[in-house]
Amino acid sequence: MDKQIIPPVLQLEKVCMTFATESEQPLKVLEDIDVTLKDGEILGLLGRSGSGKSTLLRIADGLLKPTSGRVTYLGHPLSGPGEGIAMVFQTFALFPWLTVQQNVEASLDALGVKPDEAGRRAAVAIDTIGLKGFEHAYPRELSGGMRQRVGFARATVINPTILLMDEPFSALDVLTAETLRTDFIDLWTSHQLPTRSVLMVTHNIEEAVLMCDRILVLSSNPGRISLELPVTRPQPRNRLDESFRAVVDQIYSTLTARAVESLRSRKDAHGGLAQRLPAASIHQIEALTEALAAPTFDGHASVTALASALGVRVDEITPVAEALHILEFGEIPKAP
Amino acid sequence: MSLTAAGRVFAHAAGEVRRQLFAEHLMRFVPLAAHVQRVLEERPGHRAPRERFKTELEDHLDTRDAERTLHTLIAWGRYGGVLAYDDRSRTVSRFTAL
Repeated sequence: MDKQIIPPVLQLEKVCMTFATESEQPLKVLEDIDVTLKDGEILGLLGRSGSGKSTLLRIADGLLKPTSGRVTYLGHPLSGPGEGIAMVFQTFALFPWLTVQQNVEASLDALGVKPDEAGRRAAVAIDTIGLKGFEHAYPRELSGGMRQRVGFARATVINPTILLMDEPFSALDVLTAETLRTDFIDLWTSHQLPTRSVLMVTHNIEEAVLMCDRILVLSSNPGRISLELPVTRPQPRNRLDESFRAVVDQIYSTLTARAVESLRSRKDAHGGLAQRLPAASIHQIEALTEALAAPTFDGHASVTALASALGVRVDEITPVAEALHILEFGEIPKAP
Repeated sequence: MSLTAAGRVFAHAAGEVRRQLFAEHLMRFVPLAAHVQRVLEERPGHRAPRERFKTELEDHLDTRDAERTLHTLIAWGRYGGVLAYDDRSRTVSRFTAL
């Protein structure tokens, strides 16, 4: 089949979003965003907090109308929350007074599906996501991981064309999150999900590389798309693979180098008052310099190697690396 | 990334030597630190409300960045012994050795 003739499932063109604030200056959250969600892909939106990722997702969902720009769904303008788009939330957003089964059926009730059909479809969705046996449990009886499974069942039960995910694993502990990611990818690659495309927001670089076919990097203040990266490794991907580490490293280096460029350009403006300082404590600065100076690295290391030596996530290193750069204790190579 | 020569010295130094090296780099490479110190020198009593610097930073940064920048500057400045901060009165002051 010729891929060219299939219209994108979702397209955002020149989308801008500005919010009114108490002060006179309106807050520009998103600027000139172009996103094309292709058929069959998992697209990742990677950005730090404050880059407008969640706002972008709400615009894609039709919940928020952009200040300017166009949003089209299957070739037609998106005018409000659509039937073919479902969302999985970071905080699960379940009804605490409803059972698992009732929570999942609620999505179908909202679409006017008859009760017996809703019951049957909910049972299938619950089974697929691995919640069989928990139909009559209430959310408070479930662990965070199981609650998020309900979140997935509730989103997929309506057979959405597009699944939007807003940091779906970030409220879970490390092991639970990894299990759920793996289960999701298994369902996705074995075509057991009714969904054609996924748009996932995350601040976790490794998660994006693990799950996505393509990654868009959002820069902050205002949110702009600063980089697009295809991830061509076949699924399932292994975090310990050298090629996996290489992709993570490449993204990380690009992001840090860009952050440093912007620090450099702002340093001398306005007598130093426009220079942002990163959230890096003395303790973290000491730990990173000591790790770099250790005999294993002897002053030079990739950020992924440093992250694993320190036992932290790669993105947790960013502000500390910036601090080292600002203080001229460390050097970060220029962005390619 | 790699360590600079100064970074290596910092990593291998301890206690007071490490602190002094940090203070030197802070004053040389973070213009804001020098600015805060200059303001404190000029003010009677060598102290100023935290809010004064926050407001000034907000002319150039958004509220969140301004808050984070000031938080970091106070933490770095305290460690380097270039400023003191009283969280109860939210006052920044010149560091004075006891």
